[in-house]
Amino acid sequence: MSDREEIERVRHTFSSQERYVLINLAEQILELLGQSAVSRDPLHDIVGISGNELPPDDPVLKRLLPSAYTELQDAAEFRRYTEDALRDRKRAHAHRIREMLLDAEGRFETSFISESASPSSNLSSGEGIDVGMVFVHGEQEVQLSALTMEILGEDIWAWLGALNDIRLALAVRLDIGGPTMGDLPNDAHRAMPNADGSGEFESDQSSHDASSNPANSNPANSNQEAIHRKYELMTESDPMKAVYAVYSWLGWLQEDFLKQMDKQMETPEDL
Amino acid sequence: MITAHSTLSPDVEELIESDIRPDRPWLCIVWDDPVNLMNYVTKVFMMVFGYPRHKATELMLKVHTEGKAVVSSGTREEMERDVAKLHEYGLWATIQRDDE
Repeated sequence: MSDREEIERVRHTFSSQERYVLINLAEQILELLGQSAVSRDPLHDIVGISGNELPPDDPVLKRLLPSAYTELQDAAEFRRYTEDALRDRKRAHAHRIREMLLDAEGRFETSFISESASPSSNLSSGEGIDVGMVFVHGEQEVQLSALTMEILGEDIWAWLGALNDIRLALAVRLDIGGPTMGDLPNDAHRAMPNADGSGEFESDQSSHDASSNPANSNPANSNQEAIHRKYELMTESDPMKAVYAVYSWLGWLQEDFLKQMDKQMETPEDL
Repeated sequence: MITAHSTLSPDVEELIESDIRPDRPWLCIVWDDPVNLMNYVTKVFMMVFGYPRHKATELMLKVHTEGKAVVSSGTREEMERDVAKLHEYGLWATIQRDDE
């Protein structure tokens, strides 16, 4: 087997609009994960201990940085020693995809990129040639056109992880998966008398109504179908419909990457 | 098993014993999250644990249908490493002691 065959690779063509949307979302994740939940312990910068013991108030952050233990004290201690590292790794994923989407010059050691005018896809409005978009990047304006990317090796997992984080973040806004959250161990933290209740999930009310024993057969699956139906039936003018469209597209993109990885695993000699 | 127990104080020895006793290990549990694609969850199990596809798929289906599944077991440190990795890729995982 040659070296070339051993490296996993996936390929995808992004329209200018898809690049624009995804760069924006990656930046939002970067910003969100960069926010510190509490005032920092002076030890923090020396030893990398965050001092955060409670889960973040922000419902998106809470979803991205879940508790590792159901038991409160263990969860607090684990979070104190590991939350910063987790934020850093997630930021590294988001940073990587942002960098690859912005930089069209192919200046990557591991991933090849080519830029071309190509038929628009999913998020573009209608058929035809992609006319490009301008992305304002600090003081600079970056001209975005359609981009064919070949993503290699570890970069694939940066993409999968970052796409998943963005989908989790959008899901909180869309209330997808909300009702099951009440069943999950993080719920214990809300019961703490000194916990700040201001950042609770919007879906708290419904979560208390839901069956609360996750050990039994999973009630979440049928609830989810109804939520997805709601968005599919929504009129195009509803802004949440657009959020749902992006969420669905990112799921499709993730699935496409996974299929390409599977195909390669099964028939490496064909690639 | 660690063989150098005799050099440790009885307290420490007991602590280590209780942490590594194979009959009562720590567990890593993954909880269902409807956002995470089934194929993705399977692939994460294969990548993080090195499980073959059939085992990873089986565990994913257990998470999906039962709401949670034990995906690995071992020392507390090992489970903390597993959970950190699963959290990095957006799966909802927790650690607990095997109480059975």
